[in-house]
Amino acid sequence: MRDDNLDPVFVNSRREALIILGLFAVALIYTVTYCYLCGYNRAVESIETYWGIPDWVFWGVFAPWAVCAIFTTWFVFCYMADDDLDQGAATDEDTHDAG
Amino acid sequence: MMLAEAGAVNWTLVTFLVYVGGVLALAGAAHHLAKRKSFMKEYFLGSRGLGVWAFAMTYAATSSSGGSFTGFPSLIYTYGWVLALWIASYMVVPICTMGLLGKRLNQVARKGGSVTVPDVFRDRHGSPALGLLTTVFIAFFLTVNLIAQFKAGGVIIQTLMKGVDAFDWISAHFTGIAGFFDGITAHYLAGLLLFAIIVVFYTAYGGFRAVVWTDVMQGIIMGLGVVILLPLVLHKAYVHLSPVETSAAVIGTPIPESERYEGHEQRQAERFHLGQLTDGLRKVNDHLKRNEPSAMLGPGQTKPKDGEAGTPDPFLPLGVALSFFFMWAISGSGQPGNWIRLMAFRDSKTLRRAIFTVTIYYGLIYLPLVLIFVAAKTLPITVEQADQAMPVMALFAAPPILAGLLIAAPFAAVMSTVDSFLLVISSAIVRDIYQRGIDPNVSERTIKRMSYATTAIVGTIVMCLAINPPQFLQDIIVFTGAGMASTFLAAMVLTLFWRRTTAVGAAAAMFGGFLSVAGLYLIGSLQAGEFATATPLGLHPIIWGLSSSLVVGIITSLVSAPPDQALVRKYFHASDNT
Repeated sequence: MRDDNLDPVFVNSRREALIILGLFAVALIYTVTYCYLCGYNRAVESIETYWGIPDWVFWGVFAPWAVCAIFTTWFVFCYMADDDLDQGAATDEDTHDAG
Repeated sequence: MMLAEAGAVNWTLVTFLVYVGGVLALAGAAHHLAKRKSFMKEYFLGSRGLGVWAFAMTYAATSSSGGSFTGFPSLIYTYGWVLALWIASYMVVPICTMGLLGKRLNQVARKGGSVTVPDVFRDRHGSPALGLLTTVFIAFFLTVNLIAQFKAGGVIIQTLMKGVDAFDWISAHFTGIAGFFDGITAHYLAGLLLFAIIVVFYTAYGGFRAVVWTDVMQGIIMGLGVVILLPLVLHKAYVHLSPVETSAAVIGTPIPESERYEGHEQRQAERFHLGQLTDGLRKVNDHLKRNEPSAMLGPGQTKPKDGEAGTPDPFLPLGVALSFFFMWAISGSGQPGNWIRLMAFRDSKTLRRAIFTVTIYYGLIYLPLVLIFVAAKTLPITVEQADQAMPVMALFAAPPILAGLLIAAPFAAVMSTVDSFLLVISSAIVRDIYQRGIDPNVSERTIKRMSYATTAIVGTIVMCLAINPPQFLQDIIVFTGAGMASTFLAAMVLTLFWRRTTAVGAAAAMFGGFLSVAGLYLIGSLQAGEFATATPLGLHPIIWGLSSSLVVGIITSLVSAPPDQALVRKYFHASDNT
């Protein structure tokens, strides 16, 4: 079994999954770290607001949320492969279908 | 309370009944359409033909369970802004839960002709025993989760219909049963019964396509409901809350009740402009700084129980915050209810567009929910039970006709999760146990009857179990979500992406994850004397469960006999597929 004969859907899916895991890791580290440093154990009177949202929530949650939405848009429209999922699909007889 | 206003109740009720009528009509249409197609694939998988909107909305609606519209609002209402961090993981939930496994799972299901999740494990590894094991785990977790969802449905109907003569009359018949349980009312029992009848009927009758169509309608209602509620609540905050001083010297000094809403009438008469909405939110923060400063910061404070003294516990300490960020995205990737949808979309393009759609959709739901229920903490409403925060807020902030729509939003969220889970359980029983385990030559007519009956029986059992449920819906949802992800995710990832995975390895991964989570919840419950979890090193059981599941799955696969090479070629090689 040679690796250069691998199913392209499998190969593309694996590569895309690794990038998604990278995004998840960056979002997790940034958000939790920022919110912990700026939103925990702090004097309430020092909190500023942006459009009524406390600063640590705005920069720790709302802003990265927007960045992730932009990244997702790029990822699905510019990067993710349009693979043929029907290649090698089972016939109706193979689906063990009573119908 | 607002419910006492007869006019409001009637308008709300009309809107709500129109919604329920729509759901039942869609079930009828789906049932009619299914007559022309293969029953098994159509009833449980919608013939693998979901387009962008159907796929995106059914995915979003199923994921946004009763917890999102009952438990989550109640937590925000209790703890404040820290819930923004608690839910922050939803910024990557769509791309993680749909993108990590979606394309590959869909392809593997097509290659194997798999209709259910147990089918995928069974066909990919050529192991009926593994399929059966998957079925047992799925039935256990989804049944437990459904108890929480049914409770949410009962509470919503109770809130909506209490005071309506017909509902009060039905409720009167449950007074005797309610007397057996602490804190359970006859109105809740009547609401639970009505909810069960509606959801079981349309799920059993319409099958997967009805569930998807109603999910689309429910998803739109949920999104619209929140988007409409946000400005209404912020405007209410602007109108009701008095301007207060927030110098360092007075922070933490509660504002007397008599001063909290001073000048309300004058502000009510002002002409509306957009600046009032951000002003409303600023006022909310000012009032919180004075009355409840802990709600402005992490980690939030749990309230001591009645009669108990002492320091309150932190609600979201660092380890738990980390665990929840991890949990929503990763746990969502490991839910069989979501996987069924990933097996049903039409093609890659549909998947890509749906990920984008759900990303926007979640942003429009979860962030506004935080704003709405932080604001609710300062408004003049009375929430008798924590889980009623959403319906009470809808009735407070929205005109009566909109309140019906807004109350339908959490109801829709609950229904869309319940119908999906009911179908997953019945498909697991009918397809995986009966058709593939007992009688492969069973007729389509028998399969149909068994599917309807199984859905109805499971619904009835869950309804009975929901008669006396635990108080916080979110606890059960978190337990089952963590349990399912820990049990299934590593097994599925290995199954889809690692050629060396064996059936024994996948089964070991399931047991490893399940026993870790169940064990930590058991230890935590024994220590606390109530349903709770142990959190070694401050981390939630899902992290321990997933880690142990992955490690056990890999080691067991490596030490067991290599997998059948014909199966490996079928699922991982290009040459044999064309």
